[in-house]
Amino acid sequence: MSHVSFKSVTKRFGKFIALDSLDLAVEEGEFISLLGPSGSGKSTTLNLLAGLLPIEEGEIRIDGQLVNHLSPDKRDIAMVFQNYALYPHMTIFENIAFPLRARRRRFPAAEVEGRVKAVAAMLGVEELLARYPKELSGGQQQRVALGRAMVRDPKVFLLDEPLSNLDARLRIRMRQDIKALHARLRSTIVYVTHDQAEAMSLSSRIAVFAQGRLQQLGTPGEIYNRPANLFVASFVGEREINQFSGELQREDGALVLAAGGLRIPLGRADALLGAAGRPLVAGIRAESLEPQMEPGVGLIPAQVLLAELVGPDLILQVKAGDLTLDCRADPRLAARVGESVHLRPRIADLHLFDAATTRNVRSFS
Amino acid sequence: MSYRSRILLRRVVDTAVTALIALICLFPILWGLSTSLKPADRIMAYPPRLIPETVSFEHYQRLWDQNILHYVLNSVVISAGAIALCLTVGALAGYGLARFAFRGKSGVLLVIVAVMSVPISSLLVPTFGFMVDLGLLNTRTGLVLLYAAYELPMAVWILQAFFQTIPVELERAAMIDGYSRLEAIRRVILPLSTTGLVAAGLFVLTFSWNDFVVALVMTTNDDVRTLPIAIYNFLGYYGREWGPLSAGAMVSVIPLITLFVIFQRYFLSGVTGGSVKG
Repeated sequence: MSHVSFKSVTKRFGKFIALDSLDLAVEEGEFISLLGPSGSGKSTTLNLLAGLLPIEEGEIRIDGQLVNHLSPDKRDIAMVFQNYALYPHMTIFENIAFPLRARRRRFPAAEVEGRVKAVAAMLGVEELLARYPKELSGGQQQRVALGRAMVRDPKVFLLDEPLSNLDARLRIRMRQDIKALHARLRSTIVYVTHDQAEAMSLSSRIAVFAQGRLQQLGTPGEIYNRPANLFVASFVGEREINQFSGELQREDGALVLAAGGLRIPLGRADALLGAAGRPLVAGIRAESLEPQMEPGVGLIPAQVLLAELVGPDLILQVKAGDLTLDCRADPRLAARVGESVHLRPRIADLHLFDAATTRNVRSFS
Repeated sequence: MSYRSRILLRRVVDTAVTALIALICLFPILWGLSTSLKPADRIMAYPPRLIPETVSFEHYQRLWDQNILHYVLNSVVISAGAIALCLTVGALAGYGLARFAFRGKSGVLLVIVAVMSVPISSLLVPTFGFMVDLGLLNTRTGLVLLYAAYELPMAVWILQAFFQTIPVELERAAMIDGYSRLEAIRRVILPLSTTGLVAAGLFVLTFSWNDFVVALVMTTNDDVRTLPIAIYNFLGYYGREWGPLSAGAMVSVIPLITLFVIFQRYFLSGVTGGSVKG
C-alpha cells in the first residue's frame, strides 16, 4: 500500500485546469520531487495534499485514509514554506514548539522542551532559541522552519521550494543537509521545486509536471536518460538538450537519422523501425556528443563556433551540417574557435520524439 | 557653507516649522488648560497670560463636587463596550474580506465605503424610532450598539486592509501545525495585528468618546449620560463661568490625547518585520 496516493485528481480554477487527472503514488520513506516550471501544477498538487485547497474531483489518501474533506490540521502533515513562514512574534523556541502545543496534541511542558532542544541540536540552532525570527539569517530561518516541521514526526513532510530564497552556495549546502536529514529520518517527503538540479540530487523519484499534467514519474536516472517526451528531455539537465528535426531512413538494412544535411547511422535499431518515415525531433545531450580532433568512421565533422570553459567542462558550440549543437569536451582538447572537430555521438543516448505528439518513440519498458 | 552647517540649518528650519504648526494646532487646548488652572478672578485679567501666575485646582474641585466622575465612567464604559464590539465583529469581517474570495465581495466592500459617507445626523430620526421599539432608549447598551454600528465600516475597512499585509503563509503554517482556522487567527494573526487593531480602536474611541449629538438624542436620563453632554449642561448651569467650563473640556480632551501619544508608536512600528523573506 502506498503512503500517499492521488487518484484522478483534477483541480480547476474557473475554466483554467491547474491539475489534470493526476494519478500518483508515493511509497513510505520515499523522497519524491514534484518538478516543473511555474504554473505546471506542482504547487497545486502540494496544496491539495496539504489541504490548503479544496478538492473537487478525485481522491487523495494518506496512509490509506481518504483525506479529501480533512482540514490541514487533521492530516498529520508538516510543511516548510518557500518564505519559511516563521511566526514573527514568537521566539525560535516558541516557533518550533508551536506544533506541539496544538489542542490535539498538547504535550507536557517537559516533553515539549526536550523535543525542541533535540531538534534544535540536530539542526545546529540551539544557540538561537531565545531569538526572534527577524534576528536570524536566511539560512538559519530555513533551519528553524525545518525544525518546526520535524519536531512532531509527521506522516508526511511537504517542502515547497524551501531553498529558492537562499544564495547559490548556501543552497547547495542545505541540499546536502536535507538529503542527510532524509537519510536519517527515513520519512516520506514531497518536495516541490522548479530547479532540476535540486530534484535530481535529492529525490528517490521525480514527478515532472507541465501544463497541469504529470509528464513522467521515475528515478532521476530514468528521467535524465529516458525522458518520456520532449518537454522532460529539455527541462531536465544542466543545459538544454540539443534538438533538431529529422527523419529515420533505411539504408542497407540499418537505420540512418537524416537531419540538417547530416546522416547519422544508428545501426540495427529494430525498436525504432516503426518510426521510420515519420517526422521526428531528435534530442541529444551535450555530453553524448564527444568532440575530438582526429576524423574517424561514424564521426560527424563540425566547426567550432564558441568555446566556453565552465568549471571542469569545456562546452563547445559547433556547426555540423546545418545544425548548431552544444557538446561537452575534455577541457584539455585544444579546439579553438573556427577549427574543425569531429563529434562522436553516443547513439544509445540519442532520443527521438514524434514531432506531432512529442512522445519518445523508443519504447522503454 | 559646509555640508554640515547646511544639514544643521535644515534641521533647525524643519524643527521650527513643525513647532509652529504644532503651536497653532495646540493653542486652543493650551489656552483652555491655562484658563482651567487660573483662579476665577484672574481669568479675565488684562493683559492675558498663557502661563498662570498662580495655579489653582478650584474649578476641578467644583467639577468633582458636581459628580463629574459619574459621567466620565459612563463615557469610559460606553467607549470600551463600543471598541470591544467593533473590534470583535470588525476583525472577523475584515478577515473574511481579506482572505476569502466570494461572490459579491466587491459589492460588500463598496457598500462599506458608501456607508461611511452617510452623515449621522440624517440617521438620527429613524434610529431614534428604532431604539424606542427595541427599548434601548436611555440605556448604555443602546449607545454601545449605536457607536459600534456607526464605526464598524471604518473598523472593517482598516482591519481588512491590514490583514492583507500579513502573509497568508503564516496562518497556513499554523493550520498545518495543528490549529483550526479560528485558533490560527487568535494565536498568529491577531498578535501580529496590534497596529491595525489599535488604529481601528482609536477611531471607535474618538467617535464614541467625543460624540455629542447621538448621546443627546438617545438619552434623557442623567444616569446614563456621557461626558460631552455633562459638559454641555455645565454651560447652562455655570453660565459664563469659564473656569469650570474649560476644566470640563480638559477632563474630556486630555485622556484622548494621552492615549494617542501612548499608542502613536504602534502606527510606526513594523510588527511583521522578519516574518517572511523575499
